[in-house]
Amino acid sequence: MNNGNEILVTGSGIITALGIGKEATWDALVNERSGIAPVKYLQSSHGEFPVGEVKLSNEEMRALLHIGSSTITVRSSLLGIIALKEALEEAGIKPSDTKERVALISGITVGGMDQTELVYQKLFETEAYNDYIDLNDCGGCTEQIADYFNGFTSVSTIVTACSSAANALIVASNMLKAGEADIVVAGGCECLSIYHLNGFHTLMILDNKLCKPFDQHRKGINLGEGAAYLVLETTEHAVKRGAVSRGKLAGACNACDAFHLTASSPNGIGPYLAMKGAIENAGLTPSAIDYINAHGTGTPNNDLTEGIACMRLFDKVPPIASIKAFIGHTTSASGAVEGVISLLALENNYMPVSLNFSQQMEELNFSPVSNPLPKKPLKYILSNSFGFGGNDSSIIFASNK
Amino acid sequence: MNVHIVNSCHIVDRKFQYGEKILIDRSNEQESLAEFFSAIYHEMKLAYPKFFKMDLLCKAGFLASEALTNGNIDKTTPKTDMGLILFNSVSSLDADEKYQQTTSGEEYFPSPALFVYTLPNIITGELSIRNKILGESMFYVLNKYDPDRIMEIITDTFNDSTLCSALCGWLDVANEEANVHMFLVKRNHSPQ
Amino acid sequence: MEELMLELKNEIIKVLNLEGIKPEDINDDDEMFSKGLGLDSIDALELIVMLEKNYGIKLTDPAKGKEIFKSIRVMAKYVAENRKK
Repeated sequence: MNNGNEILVTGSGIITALGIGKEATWDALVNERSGIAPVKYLQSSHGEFPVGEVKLSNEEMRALLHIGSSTITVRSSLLGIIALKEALEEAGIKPSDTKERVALISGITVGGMDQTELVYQKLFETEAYNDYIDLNDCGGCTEQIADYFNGFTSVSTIVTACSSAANALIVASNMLKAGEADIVVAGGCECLSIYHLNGFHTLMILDNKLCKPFDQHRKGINLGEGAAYLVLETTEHAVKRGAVSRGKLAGACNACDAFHLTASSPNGIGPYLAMKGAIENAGLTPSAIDYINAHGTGTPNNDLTEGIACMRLFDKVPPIASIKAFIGHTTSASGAVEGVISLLALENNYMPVSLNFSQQMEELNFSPVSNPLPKKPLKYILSNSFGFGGNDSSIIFASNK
Repeated sequence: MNVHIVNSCHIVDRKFQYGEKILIDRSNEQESLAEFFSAIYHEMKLAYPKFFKMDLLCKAGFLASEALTNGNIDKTTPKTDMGLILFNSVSSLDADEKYQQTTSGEEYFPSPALFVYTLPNIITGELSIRNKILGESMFYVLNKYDPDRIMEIITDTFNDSTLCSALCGWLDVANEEANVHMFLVKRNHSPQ
Repeated sequence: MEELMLELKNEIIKVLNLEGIKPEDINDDDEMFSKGLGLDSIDALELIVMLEKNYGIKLTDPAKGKEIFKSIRVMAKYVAENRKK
């Protein structure tokens, strides 16, 4: 990629089980404080599954955002607005105050189900809850987030399960290179819901203890929730408006595993193609990667196939970790949430560890980073997000240096 | 534009149309959407038992893509230069409702098979498995049918990838109605 | 046992949407997964739900499902021994 065409990140925002904002997030990561805990806010009978809940009720989030009681909101939108606020403030952008074309692309799958599942039966009996119908669908949530800020010239939603936010970043990059927007804000948001907690439970891929990514005795996922957005623009545009670069989106690739709807192929062809494609798209070779933010959900299947794909691609697998042991699997938001964390790692030259690890998987020749490594300059981080349907995405984040 | 349309398939008003030709017209039949899709499956003499496990969105996409790919592509060879770019406005609403029914009422038995289909991009999974498509796959949920935005996204995708072809289309399936327009799209020139 | 095996065959056809398959097409001792009906991991999960719904049998380890669903006969024996409904 030539310098004029680089995609810069000029702002970012995040909210997860670790707290609101990048500072709280980084503090928890560096001090190895996980955000996974018993269910507190979600009204689920499945209290046995630890989750990565954002430690705020909907009412508390509404208060932070000064949203009045007469406005219907859904949890995913609230998470999204909080993260987007931090991103736009850091980038110095107000979509409503500029003539520039500022697009929004958000990845989400649960939509407003956290509310509609509670009022579902009542919808058949009374019209009092009809406003929730519009907010139930994914596009409705994105629109609610966009409307809070006003001024986005285009609003799109990507719904590809756990790779949604990563794909939003890829599409954003495409839009900028095609000159279809001056700035693109991309990312994702997702809240917990009874609907998908039960769904994952019925697929028998949840762990009823803390998840153990890449551990021989891993049992499954801890679900999480959160949101993150990145403000993206070309170098040329950023320089013109005097924006500060926080990092770069150096390369990306999306590939199809084409094996099974929920499991990955035994040889990890989809993950392999996605990682290889992203590295090639960035004009790099595998040896340039300093750290891998793995998809690492902690399921027997994912960690094995992702591990095998890494061993195929890298002569020596670089330091690798799964952040999901800190924040849970934030599903549609994970590509952006973990992207923001990857950028923080690059900025601080520190690789977050993979918690709850004790025994190397017998099929793999590497272990994740379980103890902090000495600080060293980090230049490129590869971040993986693999979704159901074999939708596999990898993104390379680069530091400014 | 960097791509051209090779062929098209439309499923609207209980008619199955390939290009300009209506192949199957069941607009006068009193049948459910599932029965309509089964009838097309049998008329096309397809042999893919997994079809019957799919939700309505996947069935619609499967039937349209079979019409587009028969004789056109080799379904046995993995293709890293072929992709899937699909759109709709209702996401996986039909499957969502059916899954919800398995979690309502006194007896609470969420169905894993139904849950899997509560993701609109599962259709890209089904079509990629059937046709061995390993290239880029995306599913977009737009506010409404917007052909300009759809073409913009498709051409953007081809601008920055090594895709040579893709199955693309709009598939709204909800409330026992299907509004499906699918295309096989090819790059105008091979990438250097 | 014959009656239970027929019942299971009908349930499997219904729950797994096995179109065009009749109970007489399913052999009592045929492998259901890798060959035979060619069922996959999601089908196994659906059968686990069916065992709980119809017979009150709760399975928490998906790996156990593989053993129980080896064939109709093996499945019927397990259901007969463990059913609560």
